[in-house]
Amino acid sequence: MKVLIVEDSIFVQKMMRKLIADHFPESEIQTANNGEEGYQQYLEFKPDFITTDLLMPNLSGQEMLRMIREIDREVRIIILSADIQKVTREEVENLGISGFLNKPLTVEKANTLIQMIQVAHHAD
Amino acid sequence: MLTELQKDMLTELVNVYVGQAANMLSEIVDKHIVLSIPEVELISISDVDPGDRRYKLFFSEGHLFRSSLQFGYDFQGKAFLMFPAEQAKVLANMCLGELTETIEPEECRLLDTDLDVLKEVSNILLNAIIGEFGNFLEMKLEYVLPDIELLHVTHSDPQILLQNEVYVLVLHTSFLLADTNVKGIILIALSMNSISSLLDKMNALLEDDHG
Repeated sequence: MKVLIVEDSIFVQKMMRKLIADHFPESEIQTANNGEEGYQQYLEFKPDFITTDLLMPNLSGQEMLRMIREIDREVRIIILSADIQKVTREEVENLGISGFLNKPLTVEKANTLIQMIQVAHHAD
Repeated sequence: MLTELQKDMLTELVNVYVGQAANMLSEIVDKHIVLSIPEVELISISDVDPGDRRYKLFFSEGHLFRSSLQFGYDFQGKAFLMFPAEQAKVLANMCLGELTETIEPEECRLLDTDLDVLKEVSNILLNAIIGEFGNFLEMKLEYVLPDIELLHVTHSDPQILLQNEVYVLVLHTSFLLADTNVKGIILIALSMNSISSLLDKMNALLEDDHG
């Protein structure tokens, strides 16, 4: 399984990488620092899953999601964002996502994230 | 400029939103957070009195960590989260899982890792508060990427923190991490138009409530 983590905080990137590697040791993980890098990595790495933040420099997660959905309806995307606005959530849900979690990534939310990946992975 | 009822309602809203933000911080550092009762004022920045005890933290001489999140469109303003630099270092250490509850002055230099953590934590806290204002007003807010700064404040330049801001509604509250001396202040400054939107919404709710 190939996972792409798009996140501008190095601290959160490391947490996510460790979390996913611990639960899916066979997974191949790559990281990107913003939406622009994330989109490039998506094209080259062709991940099965993407977890992305929304508010990031250069290109936001929402813009990256929109660009990806123009060419790919299949790749699973999970949002991990500090933005708690209902409108934001509705907008990204309309673009097609597998899950939306609000930061901070607590133990409970980390378990939810892993479950989301497991469910989606087994559905493939 | 605010009626007692408006002030009461705004204080209650801020109280709930800051409470949610504090709960998030508590989850990050695994510590109880003691909140102060928020104080809500409608004032001109030029009228801020540095001698006022409520501004003591951010007008004290020394280094200060300040994070700000600007938001815009129909509801416009800027939210600030501020800590004295050495307390910001303790907070960063706690977020990184280090059990340091105090720090020696010579160890208080903030590294890139610390700033990355503090930026992320500030982003989560400020989003929790501002995002709820957006939900309350049923407006979509757009955020500009948060800024972080280390400032040196002297008694002679207390306005450094607010000099470029033209906003007039100040909501401030503070929180304390239990077992530590980490105390931060959250301050939200809003444009006049945003204040009007907020007051209109509150007045509508108050009218509904009173038939």
